[in-house]
Amino acid sequence: MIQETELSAPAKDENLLSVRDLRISFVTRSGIVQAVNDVSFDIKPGETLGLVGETGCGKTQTAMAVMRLTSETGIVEKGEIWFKGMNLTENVAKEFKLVHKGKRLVLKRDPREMRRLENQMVKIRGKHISMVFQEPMISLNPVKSVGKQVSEVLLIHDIPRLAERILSRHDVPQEKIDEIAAALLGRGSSDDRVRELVRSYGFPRLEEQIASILSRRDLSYAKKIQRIKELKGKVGRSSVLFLRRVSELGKVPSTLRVIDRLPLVRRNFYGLLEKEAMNVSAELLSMVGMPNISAVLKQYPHELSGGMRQRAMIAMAIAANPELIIADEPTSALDVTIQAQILQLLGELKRNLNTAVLFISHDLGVVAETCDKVGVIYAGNLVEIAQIEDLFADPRHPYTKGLLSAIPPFDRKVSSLGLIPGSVPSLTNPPPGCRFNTRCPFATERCKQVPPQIQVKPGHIVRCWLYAE
Amino acid sequence: MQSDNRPDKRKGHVLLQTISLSKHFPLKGTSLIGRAKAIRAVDDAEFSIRENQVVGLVGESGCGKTTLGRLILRLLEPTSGTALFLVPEDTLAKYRILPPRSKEARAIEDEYSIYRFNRKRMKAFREKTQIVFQDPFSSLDPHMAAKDIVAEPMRAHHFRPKSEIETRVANLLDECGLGKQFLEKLPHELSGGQRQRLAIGRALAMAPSLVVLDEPTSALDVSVQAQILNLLQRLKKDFGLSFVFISHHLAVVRQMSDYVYVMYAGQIVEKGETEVVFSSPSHPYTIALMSAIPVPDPVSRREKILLKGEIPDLSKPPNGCRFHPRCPRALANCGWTADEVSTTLSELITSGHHPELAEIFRSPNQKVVDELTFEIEAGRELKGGEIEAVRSAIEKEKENPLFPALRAVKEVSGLPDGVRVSLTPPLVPRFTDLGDLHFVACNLFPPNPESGGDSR
Repeated sequence: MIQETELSAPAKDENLLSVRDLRISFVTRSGIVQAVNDVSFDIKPGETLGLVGETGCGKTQTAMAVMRLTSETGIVEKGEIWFKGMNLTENVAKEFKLVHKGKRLVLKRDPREMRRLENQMVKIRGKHISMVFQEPMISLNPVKSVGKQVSEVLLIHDIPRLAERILSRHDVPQEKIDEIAAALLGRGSSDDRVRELVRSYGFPRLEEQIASILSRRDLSYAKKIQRIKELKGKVGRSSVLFLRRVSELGKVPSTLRVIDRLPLVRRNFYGLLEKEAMNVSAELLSMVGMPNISAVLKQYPHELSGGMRQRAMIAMAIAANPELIIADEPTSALDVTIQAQILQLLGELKRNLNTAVLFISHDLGVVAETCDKVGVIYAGNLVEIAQIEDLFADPRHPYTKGLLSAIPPFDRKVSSLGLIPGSVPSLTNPPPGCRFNTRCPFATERCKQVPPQIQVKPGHIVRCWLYAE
Repeated sequence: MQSDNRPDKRKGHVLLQTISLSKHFPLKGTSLIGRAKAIRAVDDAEFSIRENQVVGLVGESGCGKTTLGRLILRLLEPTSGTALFLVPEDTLAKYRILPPRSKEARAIEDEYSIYRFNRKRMKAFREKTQIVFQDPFSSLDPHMAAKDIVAEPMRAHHFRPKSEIETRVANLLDECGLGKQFLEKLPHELSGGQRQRLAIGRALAMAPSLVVLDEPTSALDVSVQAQILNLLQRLKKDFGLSFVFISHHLAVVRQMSDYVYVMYAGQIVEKGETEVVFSSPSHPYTIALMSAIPVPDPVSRREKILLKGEIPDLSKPPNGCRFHPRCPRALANCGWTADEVSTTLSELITSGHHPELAEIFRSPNQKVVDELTFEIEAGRELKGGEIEAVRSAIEKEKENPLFPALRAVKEVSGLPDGVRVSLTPPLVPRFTDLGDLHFVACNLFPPNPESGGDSR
């Protein structure tokens, strides 16, 4: 079992996420498919790494393995995934067995080991690593309102924060709230001065709440003042005790969890937190630039447009302040103008919250605009990884070169586009050595051996025999 | 291929010309009173293509490009307007000046309009026109072998001599980069790129003169896309084809087409030769669309024009220019309605940019009088100075990109308990000739009086 204390902030130069020699295989009727083979990369805190490649190259499977969302037939056969100094793949080999059944290999899993790994991951998913999927219509819950879905993240991962927010409003004297409202009413007083005033009272959670009310664009000035005046709600004495306990413990006391099922208890205690989670959801939606927040909170995913659904997904992803967001083709289902909006939003959030991002895309243009580092995957092999400027200015691997020349340029007309002859090999029976050797114009006999990792420049690694010695 | 049997007299012909073509899809649940509700997928489209030309049709999803592509093949019947096929230039010029529904105009329509063709002529038209769909997984019959898929159109059109069908299929597939080993394959045995090659082979089976390519590479990976685009370019040259190339991918359209139409919300907003439109885009939508494309070059970070909001609901499209609510350069007469301006004004009041406005309208209560007038109640009589304050606040914010709708405010007058705001009437943009066969429909470019502007 992992203790929360192990998940303290990493040292400055330490990697947030390290993937080492990852191999993911799928056991199918037609044999074992090596979807990912020998993928290694690091992400530092606040850094954005792009993984690019074509359909079926294993980029999504790599991300899914980090979240332990690999589907039932898939196994992490080899390699390690380290997150904040914690091995996510510890003892992963104990979890499954490959047994011969007639001529076929069949996958057998150990349910106890699976549960152990799952329990470990539940604490990380959403809280420390969150995910934005490609198709928001499929990944959002169709029978839950947007408000409920965003709240859910907070109620699972951030209960103490909710409790502290309610308590800070309870603890602040009414005079101080009146002072703030008066300061806001006074002509010419800027929001910054009001914020300073609130800071001087020494309630950090209150400060956060007032700041977010002030930044709401959908509320009129008069309504904002009214909201602030109403901030100090009535909380019963027993509820205060409950909330204090929650904020001390960092979770809902286990004794209460049981009687929590009683409707009265639920309304009194849990209901308070639920209501607060809804308030925070509104703040999160305003952070992601959602229009019409009060209406959207009650709406269901099918009532929103593609861009708005993706904004809701992003709000859920940032809800618990994770250190790493995995964005799996977050804009591929969107139109260019909406894509530009979402990429801008992701960039802003990344900067403001200092979150690291693992960005998965097939579009080299999108990657060039969003990432600091980029890894190119071909048929399950990571063939090249480099700083973004280096990769586009000086691609080394023949596949990367071919891929870049195949992109139709936007600023000029060319007589014909660059070609990579042939098609992607079958992964049930991949070519030996470098998997690109069947299509590579420079392929020689030694390409049938696994190519070495060659550092052509600090941070620029290529797996190709061309650069050996 | 059969390009030799094309008569010479077709020179000086327009292959296909649509005239104010519209398609509205009716919606269920029409109210008893008032107009029937409909999605106005394509409105007043003037589209033309000549022999041996590749015409690009670009726009975002839901802009009507696919609907237009199907209309010109008569896979859909239009709501109004017409499309003339292989019409001589002089007849077309005559048709344009004839009053609609006049006897002569009808005679021309009977002769050339694809929507008036009888069974026999329709069959001939189907031989000459073909389509390649976006999704090569659902547009091929899963039970048929590759050679049957390509032979099917020939059998349907009674290709003679029958004995030649087999060799012709093999030749066609070979042209499309599928060798003999693919003849017997079923679609599920092929990769995405190979299926699209097969679909192209099927489209070319009857030696058509016009092929509509509806997002032919959108479902494919970049490297496969490059293979298909190169193939299409070669086929065009070898067979003397005309393509309508429909795509949301601007870079692909630039590589493929000679002439390009940009569509937004069911209307064509800009058209011109590809090189001209891409080197000097003029409609604010085209400019924003081009700036939004991610460029695979991390060093040259171009400035992006971010459009706010999303594509409008086409069952109630915006007034005037349909782009005006998102347009960064909207003018006073671009089609603002009282609804839009009053919402913007209340945003201005609540934004805190002008505390004096918030002071005057503590809880603004708006009443839309008609399309171009609305009232805001303050709940009390306003002093002369206060009306002046409202006026000057609006005047000041007119250039603010956050509140473009305020540009439409023409007059602010006092009422017993508030103010009345009246707006500039809208002007529907018409095509303006910018020279070099480059046309744009935008109020930033007023129509040149001598040519009178080409109506949509």
